Order: sequence, then structure tokens, then C-alpha cells
Amino acid sequence: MEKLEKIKGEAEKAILMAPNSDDLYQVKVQFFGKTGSLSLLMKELGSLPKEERPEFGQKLNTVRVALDEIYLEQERKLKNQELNKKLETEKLDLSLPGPDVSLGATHPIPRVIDEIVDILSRIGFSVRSGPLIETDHYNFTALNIPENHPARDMQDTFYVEQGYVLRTHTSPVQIHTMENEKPPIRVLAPGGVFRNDSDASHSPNFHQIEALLIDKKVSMSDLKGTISFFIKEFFGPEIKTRFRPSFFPFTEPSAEVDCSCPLCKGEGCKMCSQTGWVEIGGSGLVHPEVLKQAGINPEEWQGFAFGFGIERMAIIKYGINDIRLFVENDVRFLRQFES
Amino acid sequence: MKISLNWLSEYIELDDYRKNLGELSRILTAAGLEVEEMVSPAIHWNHVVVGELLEVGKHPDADKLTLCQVNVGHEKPLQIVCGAKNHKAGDKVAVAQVGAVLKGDFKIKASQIRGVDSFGMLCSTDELGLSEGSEGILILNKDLKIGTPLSEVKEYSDVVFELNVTPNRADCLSHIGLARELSTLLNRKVKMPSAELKETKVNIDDQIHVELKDEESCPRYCGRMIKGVKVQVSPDWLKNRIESIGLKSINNVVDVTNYVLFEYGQPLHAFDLKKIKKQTLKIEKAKDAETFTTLDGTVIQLSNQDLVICDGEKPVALAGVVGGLDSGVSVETVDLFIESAFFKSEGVRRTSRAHGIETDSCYRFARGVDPEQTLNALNRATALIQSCAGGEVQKGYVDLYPHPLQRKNIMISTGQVSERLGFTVKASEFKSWMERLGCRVQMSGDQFEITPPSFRWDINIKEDLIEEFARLNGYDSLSENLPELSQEPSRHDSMYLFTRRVTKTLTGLGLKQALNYAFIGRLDHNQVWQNSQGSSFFGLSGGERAIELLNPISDELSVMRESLLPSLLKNLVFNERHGHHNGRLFEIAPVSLQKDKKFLQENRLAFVFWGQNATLWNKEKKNFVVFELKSVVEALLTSLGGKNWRWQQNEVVKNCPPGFHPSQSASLFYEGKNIGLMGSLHPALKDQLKIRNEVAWCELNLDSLSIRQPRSPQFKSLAKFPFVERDLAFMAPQDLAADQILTEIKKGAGPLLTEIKVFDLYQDKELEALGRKSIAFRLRFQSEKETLNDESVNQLRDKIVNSVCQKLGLEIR
Repeated sequence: MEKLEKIKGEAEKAILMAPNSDDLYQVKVQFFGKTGSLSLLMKELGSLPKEERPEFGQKLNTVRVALDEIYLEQERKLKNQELNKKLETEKLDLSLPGPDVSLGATHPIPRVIDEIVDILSRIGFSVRSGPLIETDHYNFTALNIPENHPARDMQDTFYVEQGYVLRTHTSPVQIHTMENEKPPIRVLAPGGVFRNDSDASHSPNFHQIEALLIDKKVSMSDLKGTISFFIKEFFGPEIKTRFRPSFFPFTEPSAEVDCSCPLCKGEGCKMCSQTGWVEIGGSGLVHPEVLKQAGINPEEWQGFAFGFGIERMAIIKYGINDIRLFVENDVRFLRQFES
Repeated sequence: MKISLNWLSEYIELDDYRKNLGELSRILTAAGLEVEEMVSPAIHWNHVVVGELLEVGKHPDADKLTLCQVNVGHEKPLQIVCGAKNHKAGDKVAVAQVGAVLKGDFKIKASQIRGVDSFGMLCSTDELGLSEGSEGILILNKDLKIGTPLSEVKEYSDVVFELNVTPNRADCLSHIGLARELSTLLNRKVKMPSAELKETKVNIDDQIHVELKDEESCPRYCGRMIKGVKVQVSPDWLKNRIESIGLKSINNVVDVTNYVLFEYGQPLHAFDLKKIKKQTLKIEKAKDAETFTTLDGTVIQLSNQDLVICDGEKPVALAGVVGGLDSGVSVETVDLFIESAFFKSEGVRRTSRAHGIETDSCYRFARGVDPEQTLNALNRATALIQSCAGGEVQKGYVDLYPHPLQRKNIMISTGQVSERLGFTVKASEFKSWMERLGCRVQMSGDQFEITPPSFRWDINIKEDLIEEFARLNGYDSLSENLPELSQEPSRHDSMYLFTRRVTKTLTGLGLKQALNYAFIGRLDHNQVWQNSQGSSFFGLSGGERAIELLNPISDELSVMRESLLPSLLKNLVFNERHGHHNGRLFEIAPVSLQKDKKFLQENRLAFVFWGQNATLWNKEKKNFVVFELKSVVEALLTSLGGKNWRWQQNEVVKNCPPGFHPSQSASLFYEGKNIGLMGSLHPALKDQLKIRNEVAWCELNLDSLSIRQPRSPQFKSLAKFPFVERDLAFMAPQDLAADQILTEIKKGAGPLLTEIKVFDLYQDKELEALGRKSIAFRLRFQSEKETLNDESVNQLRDKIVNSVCQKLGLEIR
């Protein structure tokens, strides 16, 4: 009994005195280990008289449980202290920069194209493509712009040999599609186009997207509704669509498309020349002559088409102020399209 | 074209719009005649009023100045010092009072001029913005009321519209034409000008013989004769009109023909009658190779396609396009023959294009003039010439119009109009607009038979009438409706989808996308590729020769690009010059090639990487950019589900294009096909362009890369048993490619080898001297059936080492 009390006293002291968790563990070995003093006492239990055994056993157990509690408490305390110390020494100066993570960037032109495609895909339009070098037929004649027609003056054309031209608009894709597919048709043709005109606001190689719909009955209100849907999705729900009469040889009736200025919301600013409206493209019902040229019977089928300048859309949407930026590929410019 | 509001107001009442020009502009624009600009000098005329000169005296201290007392309607006259000489007491003048700010921010203040107080300025036309440069001050019309603001005096405060007239609206290329359009829009009357002339008793037919030999090209030809005119400076009213729309006043006869051109839209030509040989004019096709000297002295060679007016000997005018030098009006001219004709547009346009001559005349003929105004315009011009230049109008006129032009009737129903516009159109409304437009309308229920007016050549089919109705009724009244989907949507173009996928992967890898013109300079191409002469380069097709533009903007933009790299090189140089010492660009675009007289397109993907990426761990190591590029290309191939590829370096050494470093370039074989080339920029080109950073670049054939796309991932069960790794280091000759060792290792290892990586490459001076290097590989073995034990893996390792060392003559370290 006395021995037990003594061991208890020693053990308690040793546990509480242990300076760190390693020493504490040694204390555990010393008292609770296989050859530890408490374990030895346990072995002695067998040598005690039978009647003393239960009492001693009980006592021994009480001491054991009590020591265990003290031990665990001490262990928790020491480990906590040690962890805190460790955390302190591991301090990092997080004001230092991390390694550069380079963000990629899609060029604003394909970015705008993809966004338009995504919007119009939702109402059934699919992408088609066509060549940059076109015959006079596909670029002009089939679009109701015969030779010696003043409408040819509307577009300064680049010519290549054998009577071929660099397409002046994406409209030839309309003809290819109508020749190759059966109506109803809903297609989009994004891509590069060329005009022999280069100054601060004109690029000789810019981009357009063209939409063509051919169906049994197609009206100007279908056209306006489709464009209006697109404009709201692209520029914002509050942006309005306005049609103005215009002339394109391949549509009749024809309409110039304006939208309320997305920058100033129609209040008037530099972008819209204080008018509150910006011009974004042309549209109209497909001219019966164009349908005929492409082998579609205009008595049976009707259609609408519209086209937008991609650079123009990007200029309005992102507030870009110089058309040359699109082809300089200045890293400072491209970086602004990382988001 | 320019339209003067004052001039326009002669034919239609527009005074109520003078104070609300914005509304007039809106009405025209909404009708499809876009007003691009409205210029009114009167916006600078605040505090400028009509004054009367009470006294004009001498300045006490300056001989060249006058001291004027001016009544501007105040109690006391204003004292103003003036430097002009053309004024006298009693004249009405334009007075800029103190507080006025004239054009060019010219502020009028009270001042002292040579010691004498001056309270304003007497204005010249130049100072008022009415003309460029002027002598003396403007003397106003005597009848004007003193003190009236000058901006309220109509005859001086004109407004000029810049109107964008689309090619279909030739009828609006004149003041009467626009007045007629406004009469439709505003429902007002048009006042046509008068043409009063006094004729002599001598008949024109006895003095000239006009023969219309090509009625097909010239359906109507009219003419009049005036004798004894005096060619001189135009009267002020005519000069002002001509100058108000930006033309130069030449003399009274030429100015009248121009005036009537811009009044009626009818081009006229005045011949000097004495220069017409044999009193004969014939309208006929020119003889092939015949020469003709135009008004400005240019000699052109005609063809039998060109319609000309010939006298008894030779052509004297290119019909509808330009007059001849010999027969034109000069100061010596006394007798005139005035031509007014209807030339068909196709012919005029062909001739104008063939000879590269653009005039106001052919601009209008090419778009179509009104065949019913030919004679009216002629009479108007004749009357005006007589009043401005005197002379005797010979009796009668020439009017050759054998078959008056008839317009085809158009059948249309309001049902059709409603269907195309998307709202119900009332027959009465439709009828009313058609009549206001000048059409002849026959109506039966909702069926119409409509004859378009003679001046509207653009109205021929029912769609044209639908547009006219929609335009006049207002495009704002169109409703918005989404068309119903009548069938399943079709698939997107596969190349569009593929390009989008590649772009997404590459931007995900941190690259920036570039975009360039489709044309470049020939030299730009050659410095990278040389002249390819039709051969393919490492899977990139070459054209037989560059596709040239016949009318390029410049030499730098003169041929279609056959490769994207020359453009990317320019982008790199541009960026380095702006201080960007690293960049990772790619571009996706088609290139254009010429083969067997056909034009082909091939889609390409190209990269240019320059400078060290700031995150790169190994900053000293040279040539690392090319390895980074290689990794990006391989990551792309992996993302596309690519099965196998290899880089081939030896062939490139033999056949390296000038833009690539021959020892640092490799061509890529993807699934058995050569698809492009990657490498470092050739050091000579790098030096020549003064590029400072390491550059690697690559061009791939995107069409070849897109085979069997899209591929969806195919799942394979995950390995159930653990892997075992072994490292092997070989001592190898310096120029032995790592790839060769790898291939041998794979051959020796068999299917248990699941992964292998180069993890160390070591060379010190000692090894270098021996021409050797140490290269280490980490091999991963794994079985799908069992856990591999150390012993069997060691056996396999030894087998590999033996076979590699034996085949390649290497030593294991």
C-alpha cells in the first residue's frame, strides 16, 4: 500500500515535471510500460493474500486511472505548447509574391464570334464556313449584284487573278449553304472579309458574322424579333433594337440595324456621337433573285438574313478605341482579355 | 451628296422645320435617307445683327481704317472701326456686336484701335463662315430690317445637309428629287420651277441634223440651240447656289448646266456649236481603237462598246460620261447646243469603268435618271442660260424618243404585304401611300396593280413595294416575333468546333491568342520559308506561287499568306520593341494556296514563344523555350486524345527552312502523318531583326490534326496492384538522342513498363572532353494481374540494361 502511494506520488511529480512530450513519454514507459513500476506492482498482486487482493487491486486501479488522467492532460498541454512553438517558427511572409500563373486569353474577335454563336445556337442556328477567295459569282452576281451595277461601288474589292476576289462580305456563304442544303435553313457564317480601304476606322481585313434563315413564311417581324433577342442577350436586357430603311442588293426590304447605345444606355455619349443609338449591322428579307440564283423557289420559300461587323461589336462591347489594336497583338492588349 | 436647305425650299415649303432641323433630319433618316451631317454657319452668329451705316468717316490716326457709326436698332449708334474699303453710308451690313463669338472661337470685345474706341465688327463672308477668303465686308440686301439677327435672315443663313443616298435612290440625287421625296413623307406639294424662254424664228432643225443610231443605249435624246451668248462670270445668285453645295463656279453657261443637274438630277452637256463639224450629231457606238480627248485633256482609246456623240467627223462626247476637249464651252464660245438625254445605265457604267472616269453626270446615269424630265430640264437650262448669258434661243427643239419607256405593272395584294411585314395592312392605307409615292394604282378589293413612277428605277417587283410601304409607314411599327423552329437544328461546322476546342485548351495553358491579316509581304514569307515552289514542308502544303492581290494596299500587304509564322514574327518584334521580353502567342487561321490553277485553303495552328517564362525554375538554362513549346504541343495532343506522336530531328537538319535553327528543330509526326515543324528561330534571322530573347516557334496543319475528332475519352479500369520504380543512368555519347535510348528501353521492357521519364541529364567538363553525357531514366513497372516482387523487377531491369548497353554501346552508371 505504501509502495503504491509512493509510486503514485513519484509518478504524479514526474508527469507534471516533464518538460516536453518526448520526456513525458519516457515517464509513461517508466511507470506504465511492461517493466514500469505500476506494472511491477500489478505483478505483485498475485503474491498477496487472497483476501487483500480485491482491496489492493481496486486501489491500484484507482491510482492507475487517476495517473492516466493526469498524464493525458499533461500530454495535451505539452503537445499544444509544442505545436504553438512550431507554428511560430514556420511563419511565412505572405506579402511576398507567389510564382506567376499565366492566364491565357482568347482574342476579342473569336471571343465575340463564339459569344454570338452561343446565343444564336440556342434558337437553332448552326455555323457554316466558306473560302476567303471567292469567285465573282458567289461574291456578287449570285447576291443580285450584277456586273456594272452601282452597288459594286459600295464595297472596295481586292482582286486576285483569274477573276477571283477576296470576299467582301460573309454573304457568299449564304449561297453555298442554299446550294448544298435543303430548306428550312438556319445558319451562321462568321469569318474574315476584305475591303480595299485602310484608315483609322477601316481595316482592310475585318470580320463579319452572317445569319440566314429560310423557311415557308418569314416576315420582317421575325427578323426584328430574332435580332432583338440577340441584342438583348449580347449587350443586356435593357438594350433596344431599331430598324432604319436601307439598301442592300441581296435583301428586300432592307434595314440598317441600330441598338440603343450600351455604353450610355441611350443618354448620348462619344461612342454613339450623342445620338443614343449605335449602328451595328444590316439586315433584310432575302431578295427573291438571290433565292432563285441558289436554286430555291421564291414562291415556296422565304428568308431573312442579317450581318454584323465583329470588330464593331467588340469596340462597342469592350470600349476598344483603335481598330489597329486588333491586329497588332500587343501583349498588353491581349492580357486584357484574360478574364 | 450636299443639299442646300434654301435651294430645297424653292420647291417645297419647309420654313416650319427651320427651327427644328433635328426633326427634319430624323424624318429623312427614318425614311432611309441618312443625314450624315448638317452644317449651318449661323450657329456662330449669336449677337450678329443687321445694321445700317449712318456715317463712314476717316480714322483720325490711320489712313487705311474707317470710323463708322452703325445703327443696330439701339437708341445710340455703335462706333466701329473697320479696315474694309467697299462700304459706304447707307449700306446694310452684318454687325458682330460685343459678346459675339464667330467661327474659330473669334471673340468680339470692346476695344481701342489706334486710340479710338470700337464696339464690334463689320463682318466679311469669310468671317461669317459663308466662304473661304473674301474681299471687303458683306453688304446686305437693302430691304432688311435693322437689328434683325442675321441667323433669322433666310437668304444668308442656309443649312447644308450631307445626305447618304444609297445606290437604289438615284431619284434623290437632286434638289427637286429630294423635295419630291419630302412631299411624299410630309404630304406637301412640290412647286416645279418655270422655264420661260423667247425663241427666234429660225428653226433648229434647219441648222443641225441629229441622228439617233443606237436607241438601245440611248432611248431619248433632246437638244436646243442658243446663239450669241456671252460666256462670263455667273450672277451672284447662281454662284452662291453652286458654291453652297461645294462646287466651284466656272462661268455662267457651265454653272447653269451644273445647276440644272443638281436641280433636276438630269445631266446636261453644252457643246460649242461652231466646233461641231458639218452641223451633224450622231449618237452611236465608237469605232474600235478610235481615240478621244476628254475635257481635261486626257487621251483615251475607245472600243465599240462605248457610246459616243459624233459630229460629222469624230466623237465630240463620251455619252453621259464626259465631253470632249475640242467641243467644250470656253470664253470664246458664242453659239451653243445643249444636250439633255437619257442614256441607259449599264452602258454608261461600262464606259465609265473601262476608262476610269467618274463624273457627276455618269454617277447619275449609272443609277438611272427620269426619262420624263429630259425635255423639262433642257427647257429650264435653256431659259436660265438665256437669262444669265443672253443669246437667242433657236426655234423648237430636238426630241428623239421613238419608243417612250414604259414601266411594267406590279401585281400585289395586301395579304402579301401583311405576310411579309408580320402585321395586318389595310388596303386603304396601302393605296394611300402608293399614291403619295407617285405610283399609278388600280385597286380591286385587296388586289392591286401598280405602275411605279418614271423616276423610281428601283421599284420593279412586289418586294420593292413592300419595302416602300414599310419604310413610309415607319419601320418602328414592325413588331418583334421569334420564328418557330420548324426542324431539328443542324450540326455546327466541324472545323469551327475543333478550332474552339483547341483555343480553349491553349488558353487554358496560359497562351494568348493572336489574330493577323490574311495577307502579308512577299519578303516576310521568304525570310521564313524561302520560295516553297509547290512542295510541302513537313506536312504543311505549299502553293506553286504566292497568290498576289492585283490591287494591294501596300507591298507589305500584297500576297495571301501561306504560313502564319511570318505574321507571328512581326507580332513578336512589335512586342519586344514595346518592352515585352516574354510572350506566348498562338494563332489559328486558314492559309491560302494556289495549286493547279485552283485556290485552296488549309487551316493552320502556329505558335511563337519568346523569353523566359518568369515561373521557370531553371533560369540559366538556354534553349528551354523550345522545350516549353514542345510540352505545350504535347499537352494539346493529349487533350485531343492523340494516340501516338514523335518528333523527327534528322530530316529537318537536311532540309531546314531559313527561319528555323537547323540543330534545334524537329518535325512532328502525329498518328503516322507529318503535320508540322517546331524549332528555335534561326540565329541569323534573330540577329537581323534585333530580337534579344530566345524564340521558339511552331506551325501545324490543323486539318491533319483534326482527323477523327471529336474523340471522347475511353475509360480503362484503374490498376489494382501497386507499381514498382527503378532508376537507370547511362553513360552515352553526347549526340545520341534520348529518344533512341527510350525506344530501346521500351523494346527490352515489354508490357510491364507503364511509364518512363528522363529525370536527369548531367555533363561536366570531364565528360564533355570525353564526348559523353550521363542520362538517367525513371521506369515504372506495373502488372494488371499481380503485385510485382522485387526479384522479378530486378531481373527485368537487368535484362533491359543488358539489351540497351549491347545495342547502343552504352555503359550503365
